[in-house]
Amino acid sequence: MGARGFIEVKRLKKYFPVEAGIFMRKVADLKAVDDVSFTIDQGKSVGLVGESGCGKTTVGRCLLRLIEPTEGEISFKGKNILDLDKDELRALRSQIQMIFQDPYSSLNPRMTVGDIISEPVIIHNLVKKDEINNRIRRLMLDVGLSPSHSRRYPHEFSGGQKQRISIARALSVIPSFIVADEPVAALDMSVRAQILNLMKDLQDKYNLTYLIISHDLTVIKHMCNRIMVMYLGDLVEIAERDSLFIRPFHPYSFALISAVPIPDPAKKKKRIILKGDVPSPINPPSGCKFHPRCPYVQDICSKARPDLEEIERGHYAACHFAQDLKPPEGSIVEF
Amino acid sequence: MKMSEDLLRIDKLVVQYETEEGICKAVDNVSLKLKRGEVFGLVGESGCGKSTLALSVMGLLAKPMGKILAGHIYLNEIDLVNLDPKELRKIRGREIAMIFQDPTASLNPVFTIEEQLIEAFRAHDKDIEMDAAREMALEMLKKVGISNPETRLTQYPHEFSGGMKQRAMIAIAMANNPQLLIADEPTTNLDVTIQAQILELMRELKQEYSSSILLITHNLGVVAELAERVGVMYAGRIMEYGGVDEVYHDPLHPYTRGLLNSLPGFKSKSDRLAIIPGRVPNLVSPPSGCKFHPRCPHADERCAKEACEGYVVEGRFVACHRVLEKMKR
Repeated sequence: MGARGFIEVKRLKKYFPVEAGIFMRKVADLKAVDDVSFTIDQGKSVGLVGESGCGKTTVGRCLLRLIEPTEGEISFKGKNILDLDKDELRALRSQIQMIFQDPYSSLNPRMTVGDIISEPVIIHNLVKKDEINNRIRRLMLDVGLSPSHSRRYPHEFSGGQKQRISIARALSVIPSFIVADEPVAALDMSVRAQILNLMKDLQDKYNLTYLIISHDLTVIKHMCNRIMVMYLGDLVEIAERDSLFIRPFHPYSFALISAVPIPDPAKKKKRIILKGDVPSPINPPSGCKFHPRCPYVQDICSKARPDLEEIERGHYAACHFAQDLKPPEGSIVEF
Repeated sequence: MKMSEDLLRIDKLVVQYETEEGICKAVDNVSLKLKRGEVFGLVGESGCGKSTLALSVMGLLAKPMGKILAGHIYLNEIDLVNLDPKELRKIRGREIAMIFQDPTASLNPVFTIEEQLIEAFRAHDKDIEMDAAREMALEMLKKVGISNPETRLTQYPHEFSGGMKQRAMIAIAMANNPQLLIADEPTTNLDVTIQAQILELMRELKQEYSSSILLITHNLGVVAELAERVGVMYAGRIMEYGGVDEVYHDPLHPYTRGLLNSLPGFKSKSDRLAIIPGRVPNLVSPPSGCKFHPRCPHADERCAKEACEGYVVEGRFVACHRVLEKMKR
């Protein structure tokens, strides 16, 4: 298998039913992910960025089939994982792992750290019994924990250390693909850099492919080669990192990049302030879902949904006017 | 009233909590001044005491666990620490107002936005007629940029989105045109584009009212966008303060420098981020001497023994022995 086509997602949809009344009848669909296609190449870090409720976490969970997609195709190394039966799915999960945002609630408080880390290894029956302790030891060293702490419980660790435990657990089965959902959002500033560095080191060491999901563009920019911008269930722009930050094509990306507060008082930029709030995905706007907040809106925007089109080589945007629009002078500042 | 340049003066404040694990000194000998009309950013990580400091100023420390052990908080030269509760209540809401991180928890769910705004007006002036108060409430909602204010007034908080709730909170806080607005993580729970809206609103209000703002946040970017001066807090102490330009471009304290260098995508252009080793200490059993010394790359024996009281050089304050030594040389 070559580097291309490691993960291929085609027309992925996930609708959650909205139920109401005493019979809990379905009254509407919440379109969390609404027809999304993308690919991830092996060894790359791809970032998925968007605001709360845009569907980015749902995409991540669909990739592991932690939730069942409504429609679409997800292939991993050329095999559609939506066709897998229970046993095959279990086998798949030894290759795809997930790191969650909140290390406080994603670790079982009644299990020792050693048990937490080795549980996936035992479930997948990957190493002989007498080698398990060895594996735990090595993993703890890899993530910067002292192996002598393997008999301790999660509450004895700080937030950053807990996230290290989560990472060790995800690594325990030697996966090739890791979905990290807001891996540092719950951590203190001074600890974030430690975890981000660790994730980079482990990527090199284990030859990992990452999908990093975050609302924080600074984290995404630091970690990822390729970035996907999501808005209300749609991917609105996909581009290589530098290409996106130098020349975004979608008006939502303009606003998102310009809204990042830069910790440098000397860098004054022109801010793009969007009108209004993110609409509800239960009853999203017609046409381009961004049109009610878009400063460049035209008649066609409320009527036709724009497709994701290749504007430059490898740079896609879903906007009727992507070719013509430019971010306002001074609104995009390098950071 | 005598008008000194400083609106708020915090002098050697010590605040502690009694917890099950022991006594926790959340604010440890902090001195700070806020000038009239300025925005002062107070940054620090969770548990560094920045919110405790704000609550002390408001007189809202959780009792009986939280206690001001020593020090003074002067607002217009009136010491709030020793003020009786009745007097303090007159000041709170009129002279000092506060907005919190979580607007959902700060608004009362069973009253309409109008009722909550009117309460804010009438709490400090019972003579305001209801009709006049309604007019004022409508005016406030317009000022904070809530569209359709007539309808919105009659709605309940749950009918508002997160960004609108924070706007409503700001309207209530600004209702009595306070001299001091304390904003504790005002944009932390908001989405990036909504955060930009609220920051823009605060910038506009700063122009319109002459209030001073004490902006408390862990986000160094937000401070750089809004504040004129910045203080950096760590484990209950102020490590450094000064003008934002000076502090960001030439940080004196090793902690400030470490924080700025560890931010992804900014100073570090390389693949790896500079890190501060270790973790934030537990304040029930804090490290001896300078509380940052176990994580500090420049710490020596003296740092482990005694904390630096800090000193002021050209309007900047820094609490670090090593920096002082370097300056003397």
